[in-house]
Amino acid sequence: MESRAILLKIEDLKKSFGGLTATNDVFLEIHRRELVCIIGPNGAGKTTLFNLITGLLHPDRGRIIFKNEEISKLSPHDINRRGIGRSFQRGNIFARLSIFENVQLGLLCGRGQSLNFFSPMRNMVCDETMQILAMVGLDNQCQNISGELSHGDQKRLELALAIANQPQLLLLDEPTAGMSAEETKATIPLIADLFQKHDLSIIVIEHDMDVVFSIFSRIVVMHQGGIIADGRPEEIKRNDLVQKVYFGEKKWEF
Amino acid sequence: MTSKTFIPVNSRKNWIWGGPILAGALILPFMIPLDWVHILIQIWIMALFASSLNLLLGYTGLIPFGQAAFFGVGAYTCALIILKTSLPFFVAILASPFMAALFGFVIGWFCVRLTDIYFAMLTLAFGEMVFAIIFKWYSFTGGDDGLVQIPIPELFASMNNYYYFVLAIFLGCLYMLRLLVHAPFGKTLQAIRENPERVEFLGVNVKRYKLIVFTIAAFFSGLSGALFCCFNHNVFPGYAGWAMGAEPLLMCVIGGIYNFLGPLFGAIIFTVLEKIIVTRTEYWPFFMGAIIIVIVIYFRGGTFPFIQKTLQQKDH
Repeated sequence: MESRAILLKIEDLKKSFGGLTATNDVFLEIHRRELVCIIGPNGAGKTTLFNLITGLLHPDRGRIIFKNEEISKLSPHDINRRGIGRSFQRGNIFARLSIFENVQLGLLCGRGQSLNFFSPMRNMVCDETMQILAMVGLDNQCQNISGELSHGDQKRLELALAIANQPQLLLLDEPTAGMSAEETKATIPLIADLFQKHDLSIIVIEHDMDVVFSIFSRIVVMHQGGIIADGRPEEIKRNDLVQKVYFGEKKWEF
Repeated sequence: MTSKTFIPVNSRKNWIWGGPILAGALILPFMIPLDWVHILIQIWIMALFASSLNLLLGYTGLIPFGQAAFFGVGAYTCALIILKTSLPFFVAILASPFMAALFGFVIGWFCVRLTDIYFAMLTLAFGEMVFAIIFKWYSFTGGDDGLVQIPIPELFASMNNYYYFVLAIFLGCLYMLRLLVHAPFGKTLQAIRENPERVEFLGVNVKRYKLIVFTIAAFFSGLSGALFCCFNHNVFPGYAGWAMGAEPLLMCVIGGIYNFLGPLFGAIIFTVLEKIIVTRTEYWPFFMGAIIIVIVIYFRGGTFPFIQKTLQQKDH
C-alpha cells in the first residue's frame, strides 16, 4: 500500500564518542503517514539518533536511507532539502526576529526562495504564515519579538517553524519539555492535529508517559544506545525488558 | 534577555530620518564652505564603506577585521587602470568593485569556514597579506610611495560636481543595500546571525550564504575605495591597512550595528568629530579614543537607535 511505503530506513547504526557508545545496532523503519514515539531513559541515545538522521552527526557505521537515498554522510541543509525537518530539546528560534518573521522565513526557505535578493519580504507568503501561526495559537502576537516569548510559546513557535519548512518527516525532540501542565495539554492535540492534517510522518521523543500513551500508535524504546522494544502501546506495556529498564523489578502501572 | 536592548534592524521609521538627511545632502554644498564639502564627500564614501561592512557585522554576525583589503583593492584597481591604461575613467570606477568582489570571493572562500574570533583573525591575516603585497610590489603599486597625481575628468575638477557624483553613487548603493536587507536573502542573513545551526535545519547552506554576503560586502567596499582614490587623487598602501579597516568598524559601532542607517550616522559623527578635533590638538587620537569609549559605554546599541528610541518615548 502506497501510504505505508517505507520513508526512512536505518540499518545497523553506530555512533561512539571516544569510549562512549551513544547508539549501537540500531535498525528502524518509519513508514509514510506514521506517528511514532521514541522513549527511553536519559542517555539512551534518542537525541543522538535524531542528530544522526538530520546530519548534525555522521555515523561510525551503518546507513540511513530516506526515500531510497542514502543520507548518512550529507550535511544538515542537504538532508533538510530532501524533506526532513526537526525541532530541538531547547527552544531554538531566531530570538531577535519577530514571531511572524520566524515562520515566514521557514516557509520561504522551504520553498527555496531564501536566495531572493530584491523582493521585499514583508509582502511574501503572509497568508500562509498567519495560517501556521493560527494553528499553533500565536497569531495574535505575531509582531512581537520571539525572544520575549515564554518557554512554552517558544516551543510552539519552534514547532511552527518546523512545519513551515514543509517536511515529509518531522522529528520533534521533547516538544513538551519544560512546559507547564496546561501548555503540555495544549501542545499534544496540536501534534495529533498536525499529523491528521498534513501528509507527513512524525517521530517524537517524549518522556511524559501520559502523553506517550495518549496519541501514539507505535512506540520505540531505546536503552543504552540500542532499541529494546518496538510495537503498539499495549505491547510495550507488557514487555518485560521495558518494565525492567524503567522500574527494575517493580511493575509498571498505567 | 537580548530583547531588552533590541532595536529592529528593519525599522520602518528610518525613512523619517532619510528624508531630512537627503534634503540636507542636496542643498548643503551651496550653504557651507568648500572644506566642509570636502568633509561631506568623505562622509558619503566612508558611510558606503561602513554600510558594506555592516552587512557582515550587523546583519550576519561576522566580525571582519580585514575589510580595508577590499577598499584598498578597489582604490588601487581604479588608480592603476587610470594611470596605466587608456581606458576611460568610468571603466576604472566600474571595474574596481568587481576586482574587489573577486578578491572577496577568493578570500571569503577560506574565511567563511571559520566562525567567531577565528573568522576575524583570518580576515585580518588576509588583509595584512594584501597590504604587504601592495607595500612591497614597487614596480606595480609604487610600494610605500603609493600612486599619486591620479587624473580625473575635467567634469569632476569642481568639488561640487564630484560631490554630487559621489552622492549619487552612495544613494544608489544605499538603495540596493536596503533592498537586499529587506529581501529574503537579508532576513536569512539575520537568521544566520541569530542561530546558524537552526538555519541549516531550514535547508540553508550557511557557508554559501556567508560567502555570497562576504563577496557583496567586498564589492561595495571596493567601490568606496575607488571613489576615495579619485577624491584624493592618490592611493597609498595604508588604504588597505588594518587601521583603515578599523574606521568603518568604529563608525558602525558608534551609529548602531542593528540599524540600517546606523553606519551612516556613525560615519557622520566620526568624520565630523575627527575634523573638529584634528584642527584643535595634535593629541587628537587620544580625544577621539575617549569620545568613542564614552559612546560605546553609554550608548550601547549605537547612538542612532538611542536617539530614535528617545524620540519615540517622547511621542508616547
